[in-house]
Amino acid sequence: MPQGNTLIVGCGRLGSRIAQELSADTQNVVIVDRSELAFKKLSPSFGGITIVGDATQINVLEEAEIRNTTSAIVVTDIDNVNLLIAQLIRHHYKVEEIVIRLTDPELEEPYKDKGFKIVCPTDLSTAAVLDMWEGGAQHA
Amino acid sequence: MRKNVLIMGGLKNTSELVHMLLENNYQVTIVNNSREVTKRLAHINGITVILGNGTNPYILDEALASEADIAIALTSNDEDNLVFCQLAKEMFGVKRTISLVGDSLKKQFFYDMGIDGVVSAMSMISEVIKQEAVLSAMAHAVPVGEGRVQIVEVSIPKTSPIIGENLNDIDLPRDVIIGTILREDYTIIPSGETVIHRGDVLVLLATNKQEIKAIEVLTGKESEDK
Repeated sequence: MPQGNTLIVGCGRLGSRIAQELSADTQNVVIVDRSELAFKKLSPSFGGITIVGDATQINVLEEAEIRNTTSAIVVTDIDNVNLLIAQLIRHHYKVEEIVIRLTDPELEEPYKDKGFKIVCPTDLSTAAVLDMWEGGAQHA
Repeated sequence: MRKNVLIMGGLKNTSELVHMLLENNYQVTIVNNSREVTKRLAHINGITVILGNGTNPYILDEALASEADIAIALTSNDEDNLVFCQLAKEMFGVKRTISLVGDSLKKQFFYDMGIDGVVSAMSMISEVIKQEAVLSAMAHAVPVGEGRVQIVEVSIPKTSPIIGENLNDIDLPRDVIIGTILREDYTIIPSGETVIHRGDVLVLLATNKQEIKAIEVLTGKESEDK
């Protein structure tokens, strides 16, 4: 069955790792970052396409083949950028499967029903840290 | 009951806007991330200035966003403007949101996301350029008397609404007279009863910048100013 592209926005530590994994998994990956240097984080075995540009701009999304995109992962460092891009590609390009990163937990609530999933590293880290922390157990 | 305006961002243009709002009896609160800008704005009497990021719900709370009637986003980042307006409306109940947008292709998207007023500087400039192009295709103007008077040649296209009308019946601005009508090989000095034909070239004298209005009336091409 022909499969659309997976768009990844942001080639930071998170974006680049995700891109590697998905590309190894035979997804058609297109990764966009404002800086060309960011793509150095990708290993030579990365089989996807890299695009340099600001993904909040429609012309950059078009260059990144947004019309052939069926899922997107939006993980730049900036929450507001991720929020704009997620809403833009959902509303304008009807991409259905979207996951974004939001660092500020306070933004989760207002944006929870906008048609994309949110991963909040702060929440995950809190849970993981408390899980690892054995301080409380000693007082049990 | 005074209306309350909450503004995020803006650089050099903000104090002009603020003064205009104060003159119109609005209460003004500004949130800006720049220490320099907030220091400058703090000199204006009677407004509240908050140093901080307007897309942070905690700061919006400090800025009493729930009491604002209008929220205006003036930063140069579309993403910050969008989130500010969305939080203002959806989290704080602000009824009207207005935003600048840098990427004119996203203007409709902003409207679709619930922003009430969207201003794209590039769209506005394009419109003005288009208007200039339309008008200059229709007419040829020569300034005389240090530009106080324009002599304008206006060709009457086949789509003109005044074809077949008497000069008397045409609603030209007061400061415009039709000096001559060039029709094929004839030069006509018109009177009130002269009827306009398609293909006529009207030579007008216009003062007080009324030539644009006159061109619109004669050719039927509307300016897009609303």
